Amino acid sequence: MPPRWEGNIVPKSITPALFEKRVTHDLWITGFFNIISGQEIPSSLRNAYLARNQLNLKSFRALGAEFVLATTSGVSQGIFTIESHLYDVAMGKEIAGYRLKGSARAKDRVFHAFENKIIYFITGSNGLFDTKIAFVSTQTGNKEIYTIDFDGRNRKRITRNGSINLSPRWSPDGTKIAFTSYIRRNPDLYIIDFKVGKIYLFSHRTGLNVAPAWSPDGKYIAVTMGYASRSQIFLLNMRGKKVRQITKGWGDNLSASWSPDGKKIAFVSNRTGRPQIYIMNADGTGVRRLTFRGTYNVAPVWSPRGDRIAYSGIIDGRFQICTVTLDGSTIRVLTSIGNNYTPCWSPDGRYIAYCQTTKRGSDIYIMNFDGNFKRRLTHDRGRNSMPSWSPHLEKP
Amino acid sequence: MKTRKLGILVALLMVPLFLTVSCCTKKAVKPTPTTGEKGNQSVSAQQKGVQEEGLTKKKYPGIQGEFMESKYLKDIHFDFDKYNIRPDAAAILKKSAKYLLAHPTYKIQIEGHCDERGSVEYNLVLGERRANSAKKFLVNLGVDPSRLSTISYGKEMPLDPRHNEEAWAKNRRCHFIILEK
Repeated sequence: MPPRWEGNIVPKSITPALFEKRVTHDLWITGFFNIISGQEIPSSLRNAYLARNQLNLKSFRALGAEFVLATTSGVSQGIFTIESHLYDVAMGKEIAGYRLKGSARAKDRVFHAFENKIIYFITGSNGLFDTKIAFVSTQTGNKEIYTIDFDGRNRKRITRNGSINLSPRWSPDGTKIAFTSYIRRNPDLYIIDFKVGKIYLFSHRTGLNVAPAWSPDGKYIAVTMGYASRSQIFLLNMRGKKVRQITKGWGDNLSASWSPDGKKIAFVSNRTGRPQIYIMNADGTGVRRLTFRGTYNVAPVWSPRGDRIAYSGIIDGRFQICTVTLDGSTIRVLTSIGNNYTPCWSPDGRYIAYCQTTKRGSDIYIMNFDGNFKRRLTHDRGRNSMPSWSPHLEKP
Repeated sequence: MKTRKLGILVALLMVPLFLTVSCCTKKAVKPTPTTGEKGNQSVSAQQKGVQEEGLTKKKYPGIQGEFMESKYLKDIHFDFDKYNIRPDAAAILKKSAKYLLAHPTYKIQIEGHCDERGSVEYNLVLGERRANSAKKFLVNLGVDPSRLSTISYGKEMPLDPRHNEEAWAKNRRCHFIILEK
């Protein structure tokens, strides 16, 4: 028997229609659901629920529904509340009933918590609605760093220096972003500290200070820097001090990405003449080449699940996002339109965000890790590139 | 768009001023011309083979410091994903070296640039390699390495914004700027 609605929640500013539109959009972008709109539910079923709190789950089965979500929301004394009941049609019972509250000025956070719970109760792991994607946009004419929520809302400009800003990378705890900027006529590394509300210079060795990769424990950043007129990967501690040179050997070595356990690093090297993906131990030993297909493979990122590496490689003359298993045996090509660059994983490894450039422009897209369900995340006039996916930013 | 217009306006205003300054410092013996004789002065400078006329101060938006460019320091070009100096680039660099040896006080920055294909980070590395190749070549021709700094802009400053072979060939380049005279 479903519980009765409680309290005197008066809908205000968010009408039921707007609420439904938002939740429908947000659940749809996860790629898990086909949504049956409330309008499609026969009025007899709706009325029975609204008037007598009766939910005949068997009749919803006839609609093809596997779950039914009943919600109400409203603002009272500055507090925004969402109350929600989730029913499993096959099991014929309610699987979750919860109420979430928050400041009416921060409705998005309440929505995100509410939507994350739906994903949690249906899939068994947290949703990504409390994550953001940092990226580079040319909307102001130069390249500045921005962030946008997973649901495509709340786009925010982070840097305002008018310079060239590149390679934003979230720290593992989500409180900082490292990036490269040309403010001082050199590609230096900076760190934005959101807790303190400051941007500070982190590494300014003459030459390259690029491609920052935070170690999973957040104690180090692997940085690509110039050394003896080549590029090598160095390990810096959080004071910006060189701890050691990780890569040695012929050619340029660059673009580090740590394995989730912090024991290995994937990187790019052109030691054989053309850029390919390699793997090594975090101390620089045990180097082995991972990609053998194609002549130009760059931008490796290790999946949070640890089992594969995504990268951008030339296939039939254009750049596509690919994944490769750690033994190099299975390569999947995930994109086919335009040129596709700089993949990055969602914290749960379910999705890959990437930059797609076509004649129309350059935008951030998100797809499932198997290449299905591609959707465009950025919709402005700038050229958008270099996504980096934050960890969960709210405590569960 | 606004800033670019402003930049051009400033550059135009600076032209006569710089002629005066460079002339004064080079030929201290020569009596300084009155302001009314600017036209004559530029002609006489040309006749004497003083090559730095037109060295106007420029600035990249959002990047500290001003610089100058000289038509005697021409861009050199590269093949895709390559940083070796091609024969056509070698011929240009030989002329550039002569110019630099004739102006021993000039401090030069060599900018390495790439076309838009490939990752941002790989192109930053490639641009650095190109700038280093050009520097090494000039040093071998006798230019003091302490006068030559390098910087890579990767694919961030394309000369030609189009997305075709012609534009890419133009954008794979080293550009030379004068930081100090």
